[in-house]
Amino acid sequence: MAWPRVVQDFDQVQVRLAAPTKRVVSQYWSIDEFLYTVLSPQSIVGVSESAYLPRISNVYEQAQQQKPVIATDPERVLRQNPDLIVASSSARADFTALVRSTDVPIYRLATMFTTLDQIADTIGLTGYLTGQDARAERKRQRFLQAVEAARKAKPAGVRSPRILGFGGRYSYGSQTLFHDIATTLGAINVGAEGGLVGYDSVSTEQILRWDPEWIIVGAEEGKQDQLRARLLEDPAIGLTQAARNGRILVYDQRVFLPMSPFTTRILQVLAKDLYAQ
Amino acid sequence: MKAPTVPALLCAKSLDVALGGRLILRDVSLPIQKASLVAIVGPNGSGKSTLLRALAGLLPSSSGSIELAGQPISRYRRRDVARILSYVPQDTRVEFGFTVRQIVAMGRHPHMGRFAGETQRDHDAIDRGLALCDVDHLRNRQINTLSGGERQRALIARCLAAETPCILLDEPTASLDLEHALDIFTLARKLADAGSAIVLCTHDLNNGLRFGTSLVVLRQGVVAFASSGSTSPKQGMPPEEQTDTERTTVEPSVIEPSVIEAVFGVRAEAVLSANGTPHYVFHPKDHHS
Amino acid sequence: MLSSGTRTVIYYTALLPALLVAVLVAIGIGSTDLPIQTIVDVLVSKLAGSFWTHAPAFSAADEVIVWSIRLPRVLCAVFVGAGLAVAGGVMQGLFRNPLAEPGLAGAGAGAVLGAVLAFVTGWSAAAVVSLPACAIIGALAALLLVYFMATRAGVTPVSTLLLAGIAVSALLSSISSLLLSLSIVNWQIAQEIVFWMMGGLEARTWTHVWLSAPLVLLGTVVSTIYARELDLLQQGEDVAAAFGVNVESAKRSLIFTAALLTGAAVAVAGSVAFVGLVIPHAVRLTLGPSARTLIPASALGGALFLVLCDLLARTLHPPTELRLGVLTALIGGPAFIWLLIRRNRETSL
Repeated sequence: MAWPRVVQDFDQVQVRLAAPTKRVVSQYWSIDEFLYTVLSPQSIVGVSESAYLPRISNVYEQAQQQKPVIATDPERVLRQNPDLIVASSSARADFTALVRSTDVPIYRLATMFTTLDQIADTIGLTGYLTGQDARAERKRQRFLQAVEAARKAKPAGVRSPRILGFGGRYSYGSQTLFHDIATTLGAINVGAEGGLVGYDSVSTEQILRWDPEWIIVGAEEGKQDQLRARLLEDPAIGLTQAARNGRILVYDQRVFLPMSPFTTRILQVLAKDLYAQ
Repeated sequence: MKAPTVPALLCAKSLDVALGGRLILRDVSLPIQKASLVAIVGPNGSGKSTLLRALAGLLPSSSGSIELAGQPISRYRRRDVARILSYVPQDTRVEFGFTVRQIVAMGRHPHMGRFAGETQRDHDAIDRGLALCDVDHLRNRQINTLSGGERQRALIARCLAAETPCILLDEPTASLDLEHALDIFTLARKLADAGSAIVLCTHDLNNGLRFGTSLVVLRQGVVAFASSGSTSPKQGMPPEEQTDTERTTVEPSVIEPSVIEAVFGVRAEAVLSANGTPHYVFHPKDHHS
Repeated sequence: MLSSGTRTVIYYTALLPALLVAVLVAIGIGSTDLPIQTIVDVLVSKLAGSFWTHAPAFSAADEVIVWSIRLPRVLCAVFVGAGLAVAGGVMQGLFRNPLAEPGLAGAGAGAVLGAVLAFVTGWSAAAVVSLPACAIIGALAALLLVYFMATRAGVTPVSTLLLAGIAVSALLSSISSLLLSLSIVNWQIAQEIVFWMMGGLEARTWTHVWLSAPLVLLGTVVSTIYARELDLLQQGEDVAAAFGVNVESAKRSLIFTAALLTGAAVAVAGSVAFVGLVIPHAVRLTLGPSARTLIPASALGGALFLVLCDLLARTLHPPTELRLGVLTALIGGPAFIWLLIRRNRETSL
């Protein structure tokens, strides 16, 4: 693949990349995870603040190795002499505008994924941006294999389980990553079935009406039992099949739900829990 | 034969009052008897309001005391004090639109139990107060829509509803026109004649002289002049049986013009009007002397 | 012009049934609408207990929804609305100002800080009662701070109390904001905090009802008992003392009661603005300023207002719930401006 490369980012801005990156900065928690998947830690000189939070980040250990700066302050970021900055399309525009006035290339990446394929594509894109095309391709293939395995997880002849992803006040409707995960696993996303579109609020009353067979939530490490107890205490949730049959799945929040290559983990554990024989 | 000394209902004894670090009243002694109208007169800043508030037990004294029926006022519970004396403040404005009847009804508070509603006795006292002060026709009007004079009368009606033997009025005529000021003084004297102890402070020397049964002149917190034998009734006769002419009023000649000049900063000329009512006419101080 | 006695009778005759109807309607409307018959059946069966011998004509889900989800929520609206309106009435009397509102003495900001602390430390996730308990403690602690700042030698001048309240409120609000900014990395907690601060009654349980109802009832009763003192205090502290009120003791009791009411309300519903300001004001314009009438009538008016606001919050944009505090501000703000204009017009006559 030839250099220099010119790409168009989410804002339709042409970004010129001179050479494979040696010093890249990530501005968003999921972009951290993409970069650490594709690059070795030495090349990453800036990360989001989430990387240093062991309870949230999937790349905590890697960040600890090289201790990159936290990329909130533009001054500190630019002092690192990065040759590429990758920011999220949903992040504030002023940082991007500031950096665009310098000669450091900054690429605004879409991070609100709604399908697993989009994650796979972004792994490839990350490789292209950073010059790690070969390595990224290998990771991409591995990701797609995990997705394929998930697709085959449901045993033949088993009814599709009705599952609900719950975020405390919100649930996942259609056009969300969770929905794609559920469909890939051969389950029915109760939220989408109930008419939710996107990540939207839901009342416990509605959950009772929908009566899912499985409820899936994420919690901080160590707080899982507490959360399960609180959910069972709720009179509406407590009456659902999921509660009554002990089918409330509380996963570590690093597993449920990162929007990054680490999403393979939820595919594996959820397949195991749903179809364990 | 000396007249039997009647014990004072309310009495200031060698009173010192300090406010904000400054001594406002110094060594003020003043007995208040029943059936009297005590006029406390003095220029602005002489301490009239402070004396009145002290008499009402609203201020702490730095030395000396206020006695109510022979006991220091601090020994009483607030509620019990409120059954003996009531008070009309200088500033009569009220933020909210209470009706006159509601305002007057508040005077019954010291007599009402914690959980009780209005009794017949309360109704009667309120009605009596409204009638005596001629504000009954205004009973359903909001107090902040009344004129100054009507408001004063309504607040006095509140004191009457409280059925207190002593009523303290702080500058009741300060912002009233001639007609209404006269109304208030007339009413105050009428109440005194009927047996109440009325104490009012004013800067209106003439009306104080004319209507008061005794006069106290304050200058810079000190009593500059007090008429003697304030309400001493004619020997042996109870106050109610005296006629107007027999009741003691203060003779203008008793106040030295020099006192008036020193206190008020004006030259005073004593004049007798056609019907014999004495008063003073004031002239600017003469600078060529 | 009707006499105030007649107006009071009309007020209660109109509003008491209106509240009952509003409560039933609010219980009936939700993610699925329930017919009145079902609601009545559930309520009667629950209240009659073992005397209920009829076969249930409603499903277990219906029963849970009516009894465990909607009824507690609507009852919370009743008590929070009543509590805020009474607190506002008391504050308006104490500060002799019709523009006073419950949070003036710092109790509101204290309650919010207590709640934010509960969120940030994770206590709020531990048990349902933790969050409201922290909020009530916060409210009372803030009040104590304000009270002791404003009191010298047992005397609490109202103007000093006001200034101390404003200062403490500002300080506590900024600490809340600080805690929020520090926790914002964990977006779920930050989201919870921000939503809670905007006010809302979703997921309120019987625990919230048992916590708020006694405090609101107590506060309303105490305020009504002190009604004459409150009226007399408005005539000026000298006048009040002269007519037998123990001024400092009465002020203490009233401000503590207002803080308790505010704390209980914020503990259950977050920051809900304008109820404490507008309702007593409107009731005063209709029924007059006498506290004996004003306090209970404000409680009723506040309860009805908040039940209706909560109903709107749930139904204007389903399935999303609008924040209750936002709605009361959107309705209360213009209402307040209108009241102000009316007042200016009247006083300039």
